[in-house]
Order: sequence, then C-alpha cells, then structure tokens
Amino acid sequence: MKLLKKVAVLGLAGVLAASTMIGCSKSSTENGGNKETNVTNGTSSGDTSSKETDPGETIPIRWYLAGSGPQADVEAVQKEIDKYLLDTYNMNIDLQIIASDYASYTQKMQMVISSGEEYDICWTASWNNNYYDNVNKNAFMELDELLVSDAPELLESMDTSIWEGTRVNGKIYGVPSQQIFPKQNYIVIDKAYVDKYKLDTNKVKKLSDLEDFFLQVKADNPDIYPFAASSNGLMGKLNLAIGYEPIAGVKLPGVIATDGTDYKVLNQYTDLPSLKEFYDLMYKWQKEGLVRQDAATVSDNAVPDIKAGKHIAAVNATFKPGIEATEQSNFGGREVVFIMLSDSYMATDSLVSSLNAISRTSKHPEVAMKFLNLVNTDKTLYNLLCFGVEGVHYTLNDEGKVISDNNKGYNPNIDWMLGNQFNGLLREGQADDVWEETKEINASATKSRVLGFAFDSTKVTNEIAAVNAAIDQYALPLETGAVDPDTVLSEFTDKLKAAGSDKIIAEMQTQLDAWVAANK
Amino acid sequence: MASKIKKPVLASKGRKKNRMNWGLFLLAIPGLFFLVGYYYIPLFGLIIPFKKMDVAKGIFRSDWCGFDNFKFFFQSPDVWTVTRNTIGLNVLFIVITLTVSVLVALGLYEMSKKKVKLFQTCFFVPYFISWVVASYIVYALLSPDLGVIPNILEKLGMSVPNFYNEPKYWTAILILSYIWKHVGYNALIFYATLVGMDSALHEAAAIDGASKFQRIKYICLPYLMPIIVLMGVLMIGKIFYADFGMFYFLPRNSGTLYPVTDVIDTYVFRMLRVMGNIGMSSAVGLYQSAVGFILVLITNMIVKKRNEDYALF
Repeated sequence: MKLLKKVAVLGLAGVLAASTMIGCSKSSTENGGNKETNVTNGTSSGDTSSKETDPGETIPIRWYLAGSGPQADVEAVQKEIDKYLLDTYNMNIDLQIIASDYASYTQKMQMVISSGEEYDICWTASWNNNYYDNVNKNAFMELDELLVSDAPELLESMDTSIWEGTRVNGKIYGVPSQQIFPKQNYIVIDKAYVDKYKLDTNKVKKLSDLEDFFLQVKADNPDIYPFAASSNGLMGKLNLAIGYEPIAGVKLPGVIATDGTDYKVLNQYTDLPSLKEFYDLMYKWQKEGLVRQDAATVSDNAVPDIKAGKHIAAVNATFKPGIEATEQSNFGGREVVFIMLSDSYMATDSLVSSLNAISRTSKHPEVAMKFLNLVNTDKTLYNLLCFGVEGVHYTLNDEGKVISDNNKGYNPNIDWMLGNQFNGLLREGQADDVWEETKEINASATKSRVLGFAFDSTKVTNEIAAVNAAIDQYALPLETGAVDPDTVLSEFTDKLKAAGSDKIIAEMQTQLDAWVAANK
Repeated sequence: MASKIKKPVLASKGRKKNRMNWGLFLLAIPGLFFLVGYYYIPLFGLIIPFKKMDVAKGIFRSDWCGFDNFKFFFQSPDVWTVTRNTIGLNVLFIVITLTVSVLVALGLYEMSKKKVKLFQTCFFVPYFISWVVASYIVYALLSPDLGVIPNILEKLGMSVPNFYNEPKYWTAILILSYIWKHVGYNALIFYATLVGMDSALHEAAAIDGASKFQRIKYICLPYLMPIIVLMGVLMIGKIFYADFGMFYFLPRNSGTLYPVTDVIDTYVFRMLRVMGNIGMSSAVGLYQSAVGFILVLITNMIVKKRNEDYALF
C-alpha cells in the first residue's frame, strides 16, 4: 500500500510537470503559427520591395542533404554563397548545409521530422527519405502558392507535366531537380574480360545470356565471383529488365507490368513468372560460384570488391549520358562495356526521384522558396553548390570542364540532388552534349501508362509495416541466390498474404481505378 | 518491511533527525534533477502511442487515435516468433550468464591477487567492445570465404556450412557471444561481494574440517544469493527488451537467420525504419515496458514469498 501511495504521488507530480510543459509548448507553437501566416501574407507585396534597398536581418536557411557525408570545407562555400546572394540579389541569408550519408539519411530525417526540429529545406525522394510518407505525415509545406509568388522563374523552368508528377492529393510539395527522369537498367562489364573471352555484346539481351561467359571466367579464375551482388539487393536495379514498375516502393507488393496495356495491379511475387525466373537464375549462379555465397551481407554496393577486381560485372538502374566516367571509376579505372537490359522507361516515380521540399517547421518559407528558385535558375549559385569555389575547390581545364579534387575539401558530387542539372558546368570526361542527350532521352522515353499516379498509403499502414518485415526477411536472400526459390518463394508469398499483401494491392487497385477514371 | 525498520530508528533517535537535512539535500539536487529530467518528465511521451502524429500539429495537438498504433504489431504474422525469440533467448542469457559469472567469481576468489588482475582484465575487456566491432570479429571467424572456422573445417576435410545462411547454429553463437561480452562484468560484481566477506567464516569452517566444495556451498553461495537474486530480478525487468546492437549486427541482418535471431526490437526496426512512424514505434516501446514492469513485480512477489530479505521492494 505504502508503495502504491508513493507511486501515485510521484505519478501526480509527473502529470503536473507534464501539464505545465503542455501549457508552454502550446502557446509557443501558437505564436509560431501566427508569425508564419503573417509573413506569408505580407511577402509578395511589401517585403520584396523593401528588401531591394535594405537587406534586413540575416535569415538562417537550414538545408538537409544526403550524399557521401559532410564536406570538410563546406563553411567556406556557404560563406561564398551568402556573399554572392547579398551582392547580387540583396538577399541576406545564412546558409547552413547539413549533409549526411545516404545510408543513414532516411533515419536521420525521420528523427528531425518527428522531433519537430526547425529547418527550412530537405532533400527527399521516392527511394530515400520517402517523399510520400513525409507528405502524409504533414512534414512539408504546400508549394503551389509560394511557387507563384516567390519562384515564378522556377515554376516556368519546368514543363507542367513534371510538376503534375510531384502532386500528392492535388498539391505540390517538392521542387524536382531537372535531370535524367527515365530509367534504363544496364549491366556494366570489365572490358578486358569481354575482349579475352570474345563476348558478343550485341547478342546479350537479358541477364541469362551472360551465363556461359561468366562460367568461362569462373573456370579460369576461381577466385572471381563474376556477378556483383550486395545487401542493397538487385531488384531496384533490375525491375525494368524483369518487366515491372513498382507502385509504391520497389519491393512492396503491387506493380504494373511494363509491357501490358491494362491497369491491373499485380503482386510481383506471385503473378510475375519473370521474377521467379530471375530468382531461379540467381540461385543457380550462386551454386555455380558466379555470385558470392554471402552476398546478402556485403555492404557498400560491393563497390570495393568491384574495384579490387573480385567482381567483373555489375547491374544498375539508370543509364544516363555521362555515367561512363562514374562506372569506370567504380571499376578502379579499368575500361568497361555497357549492355542495356531494358528500354528507357519513364515510371510514375521517376519524377519524384530527387526533390527539395520546404519544411512545415520553417520560419521563413518564402525566403527558402526564393533561395530554391535561385538554386534552380542561377548558374553561378548552382555551380558554387555543386563544385565549391573555383580555384579553391576545383579548377577548369582547357575545355572549361571541372576538375575536382577530393583533397580540397569540397566535392559532394550530388549535382542532381541540388537542382537543375542542366545549369551545371561539365565535369572532366563528360561529353559536351551530355545535357542535350539527357533532354532528348527525357523527351523520347517510353512513358508509363500510370505516370503521375501517387499511392496514398495511410489506409494500409499496418499492413505495409508487416509486409516490410516479411520482405526484409525473404527478398534479399532470394535476390542474391542464397536460398532455393522452389521452396522459399511460396513460403514468402504465404507470409506476405498473412501480413496483408492482398489488402494493400486491393487498396492500390481502388486508388488506381479512381485515378484512371479521372485522368484517362 | 521498510516501515518496520524505520519506526524504531525514528523513535530512538528523536525528532530532530526527521527534519530536512539541507546539506545532504543540496548534494542530492543534481541527482534529483537528473532523475526528474530524464525519467519523469519524459513520461509525458506515453501519450504518443495513442496519437496520430502530425508533425505540423506537434505531440500535444495531434489527434487521439486509441489503440490504432498497437494494431500493426499484434496483427503481424511474426509476433509469436519474435516474442518467443526475445523471451527464450533472454531467459537463456540470464540463466547461463548468472551461472557462468558466479563460477568465474568463485574461481577468481580462490586465486592469488596477481592472477586475479590478469583474469579480471581479460574477462572485462569484451564488455567495452561494441557489438559493431564484435560483429566483425564474428564475421572474421565465420565468413564463408575467409573465415577462420570454415577454413579450418575445410583443411580437416569436413563439409563447411555457410553460417550466415543456417539458422540452426545461431542460438549457440548468440549465447556464446553474450557470455563472452557480459560474464566479465557480472563476475566482477560477484567477486567484489565475495571479497567483502569476513574471512573468519572461512577460517572457522576450515578448522571444523569443511572441504573447499562445502565451503563454497555453505558459505560463498548463501553470501552471494541476495546479489544473484537482485541481478536476476533486474535482468528479468529487461527480458522484453533485446540488446538491439547484438541482434542487429551479429547476424549481419541476414534474412535467412530471422527465424532464430529476430527479436522484438529488430523486428520493429525493420517494420518501421522506412516509414519512421513515431506513434507505432512508441506503442511497441510502451508494450515492452509494461510487460517488463509486470514481470518485475511478479518476480519480486515470488522472491518475497520465498525469502523476504531478498526482495527488491
């Protein structure tokens, strides 16, 4: 009894303490809210004109980005940008870039967003720091009005169809970076082996066509596992080659067949024979030593092993002009050969593969919008962000192309994340017409018949959580050939069913049917 | 029980002692702040599992949603497996770690001071090694290509299993790793207790002709019992929590091992890491704490019934 009383008293004290806190935070958020609305109301008319003469107080702009992590000399670049904006546009901001690596970015942003931290801009995408999830959580600001009032140039710089692709429930929540939009799966192979074993690359149409070649390589080099696979999995890199387009995440059940004409949502794990074929192939290859046994536990996309020559071939999702230089560096500078495994295809999530969104917690959304406007339209600013300060962080060669040096403290290599890539300087080794080519691919690619459809997952959150756990258990071992698909795949699909995959697919179908009825 | 002792003390020493001792209170202030700040104020977070979190509205103004956040966990098909793994492995850990630690402590007690230093250090070092590092040590031992054990097995002409693909070995691997990491720390606590024991007891027993084994059985073990029970009860309180670092890093997140290595913490992490739903994750946290709390109460009750002096409260 005594103990109970004590607990009760303590509990009461806790409640009291908590309630005072409630009072505090409530009033502060209310104030914050009021401020926000005042600012947005007064922007377009009064503020801008007064700012022409007086830059006003310095406004901090916090920008969260992914990439290879923080850059050593980022402060110098930020200062240079602040100075440039003040001199050129009379815009007084204090830019703060917070970069983290890809692997931890989603988790980090979930912390930032859940805790209600005050920041202005963050990078988001369909495949990292999920755009739709964040919009559903009400983490981002609607940009429709802000775009009109504070970023007319940005609004005009992109085709309306691109803006349409970013809409969720009819509203724009992110600024897409102009870059290559369609995907085209490819395999890249060390040229030395292609030449040595006289592989006729024209005859290779699908992955299995490479089997004999890989077997020959393996026979002569028992230490080499020709085909690279890692814990990142292969599905995201081969879904077009396998023949499907995901509706909400590459592994989540619910896809559209790329070669069909109907609007039927399929469960790729049960309805797509080509996926089973792919699993069978991987299992066979693993048994033959073409894929390493413990691929599912290899991190970093297996790039260190590719560099070291332990693998001689790797697949990737998006072929784009200029990728040759990147892949060659992945292969330790050796020459490489590309073989396409699918057509160029504009999927419904292509348009949300890299966006910058303005946070709901931002105190100065209109300044953030103006800043994004300039990032996407002002070449000097964009190049400062991409490459740093000329002469300090990079030099230009005779052709006017950028030579970056990792040792100089700023080479984030995230041009496509920051903004309109067509405004960027070219890197050494990139062809002069790389952006022309990119634009052409953007225009000519096969367009998905569900382009612009976005799935709202709120009704099936519980099912998605359970399905995610099952996918994590089975998908990777299947993709890397660690387990026999004949026995494991049915176990997997049973588990998906138990977790509610049918309900997810039914919900997708309902939403897609409604979308088709409204848009087609 | 506490009141039974307190009353006579108060009566004998008079009223003065019952007054506030401001000097001592001053010393306690930092600790109290810590306690209130880190253990009591965060309790308001207990409302999060019952809210449909909306970042724009904040914690307090988000809409209530009843038990919706709990549904996903109890609905999922793996609840039984992960709960079984969590409790089963933790029970094994508790029993085996306590037994081995007591044995190690008894062994240390019989050793000379110099030897104790050496052994104690060797046992204690793993406690400071993080699971991330430990996972690489295990990987160096077990990896199919370069691992020490597969290579030895191959040299001996035995068939080599791919450890990261075969669930059957992992219960043993997990237990061994846990012992390796935690025995040193627990043994030190038991050893410290033993050192505090009055040596006259042993001398008297020796004179009376008690063998070493008898001395351990009738003197050391009863002396250690309250500490063993205390450690046991504290460990049981955490029985619903799995050491996330261990279960996530040691098996290198290999899907085929999940039937054996998947515990509540890793399972929930996998379900929610992509979605980052704070309401759902706190719901599981609340569930784990509630069950842990109940288990501590029950264990304490049982202990109290057996021997009142050993009980925690």
